[in-house]
Amino acid sequence: MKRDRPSPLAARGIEYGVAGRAILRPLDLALHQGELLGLVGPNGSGKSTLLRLFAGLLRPAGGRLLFRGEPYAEANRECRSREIAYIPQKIIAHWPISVEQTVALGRLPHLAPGRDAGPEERRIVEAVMAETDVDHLSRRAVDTLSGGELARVAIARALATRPDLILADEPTAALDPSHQLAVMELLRSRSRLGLSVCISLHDLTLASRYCDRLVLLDRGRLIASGDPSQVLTLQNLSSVYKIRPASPDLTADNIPEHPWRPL
Amino acid sequence: MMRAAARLNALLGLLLGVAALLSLGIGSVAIPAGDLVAALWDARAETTRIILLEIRLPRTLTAMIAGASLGMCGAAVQGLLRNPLASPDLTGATSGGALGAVVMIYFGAASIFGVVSGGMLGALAAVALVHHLGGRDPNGFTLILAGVAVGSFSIALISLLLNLAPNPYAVQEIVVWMLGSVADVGMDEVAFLLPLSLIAWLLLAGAGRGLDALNLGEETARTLGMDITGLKRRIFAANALGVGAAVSLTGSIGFVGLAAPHILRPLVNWMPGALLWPSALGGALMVLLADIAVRLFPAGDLKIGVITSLAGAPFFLHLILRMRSRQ
Repeated sequence: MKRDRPSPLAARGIEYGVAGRAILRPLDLALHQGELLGLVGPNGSGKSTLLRLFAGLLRPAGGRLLFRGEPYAEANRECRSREIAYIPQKIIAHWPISVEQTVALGRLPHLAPGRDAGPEERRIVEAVMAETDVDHLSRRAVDTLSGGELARVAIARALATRPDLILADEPTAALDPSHQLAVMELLRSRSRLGLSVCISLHDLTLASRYCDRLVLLDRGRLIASGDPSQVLTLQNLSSVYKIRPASPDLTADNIPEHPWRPL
Repeated sequence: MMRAAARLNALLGLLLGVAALLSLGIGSVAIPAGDLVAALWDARAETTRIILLEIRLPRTLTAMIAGASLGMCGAAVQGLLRNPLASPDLTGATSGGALGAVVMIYFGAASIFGVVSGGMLGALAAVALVHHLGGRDPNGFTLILAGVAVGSFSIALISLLLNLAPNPYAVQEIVVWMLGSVADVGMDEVAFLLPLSLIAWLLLAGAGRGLDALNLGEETARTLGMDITGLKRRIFAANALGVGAAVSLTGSIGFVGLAAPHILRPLVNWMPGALLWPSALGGALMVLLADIAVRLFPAGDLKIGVITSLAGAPFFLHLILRMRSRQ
């Protein structure tokens, strides 16, 4: 893991609210280079809001966001777009363009206005399509893809930017177990190569198995942050999620065992 | 992908060139193709030259420029709203321009320039209003509603003016103007239309990247570094200038802004950015062909807007039916 560069993204006391209602209480959080960070918490805990703040889509009501030590500003919007890629929860494709064209949109931040994609750009697009196993779909129209294929195309599009950080809002939602594992394996393998990844997840077993670090949010508050076994304690599960392990054998250390393996 | 667009542009350009030659040759006095060039310097062909340069050429240019603005603005609005049923009408430019021009005709504007300045002011005001009301909505529903509301209100005001018109001549003048025509324009009018249209086209030429990115949704487009607020302003300004100038000068020429981008979209692999210039050429071709059809029509003075609407309404129906079968 490369940890020599300054943190790609750091939040210093950021908070967010709508019409006087606090959605995210002031919190500090720094992402590390090459880390797969999972945001967990019940619905409405502020995971998506935090990701959207990170992506620059929302303006924090207080506190500061730092991008490589520099405050977020209009001046570094284009620079950020080359280094931070965002995948929304609902993957949108308005026109039935091809998979290849969709993935190539990830190169837009690197293309000067009015310049067409050259052979180098094409090579990058083909490479990420191969890495994400969507190259056989390249001519297919995006509106004909299954949920699993669409999720991989969205990741390919994000990777095509060659970012330092990928923010993904529930990338495994609506996927069957095999595709959930495929997506998590893909993100983890990329993080091992130095990519920082920050995702929100509902599946705690997936979160604990794949994430280097978890951040537990509850009603806009940061409850715990650290190793999955330190975060998904019986205490936290019962107070935040109102759940307990079904089997008495499960302890804080081994709750997080995901029952499935990819073939 | 870009090669497909370039080939399409070349083909449309070629067709447009042929149509333009036809347009210069066809009329109450037919000018054979061979005489078109000769007439320019042959002293004996004085009459032909006058017909060519002072009647046919401005008419042809106006049809092409207005059509190009309608087509390109239509492609931009459809891309912005990500809706194939959208058209420049939704920005308020069409109805606002018509209202402004009709107000000037109603109050007896003596010259065409009174009418076109009224039209431009109307278009600018309506577009600014629609943008102000709906510009912030991320998914465009408010924008569409605002466009429809401002459009219907403008039409209502035009009806009011028709209703209150002091004499039947004023009514007739307004109605005839509204039917849309590129006849009776001179080079002075082209000199008014061209610069405004050029600005509009240049504004839109810079919108392609943003429109492509919008395919992934407004939020993802923003994270790709696109200034979506700026993109909306740019497209609205282009509509006010391009469509506003076209409508002010030619009256309403319906369906071109809707149909031109729609027909061409599959030919550029559905990429909204690559669709802009082909839609300009396609729009120019459509209006030019409609104007040629008007001149070939045997009985009486047919208006160009009538032709485009007659052809356009069934097309719109076809569009809806096809969309329904897709779902």
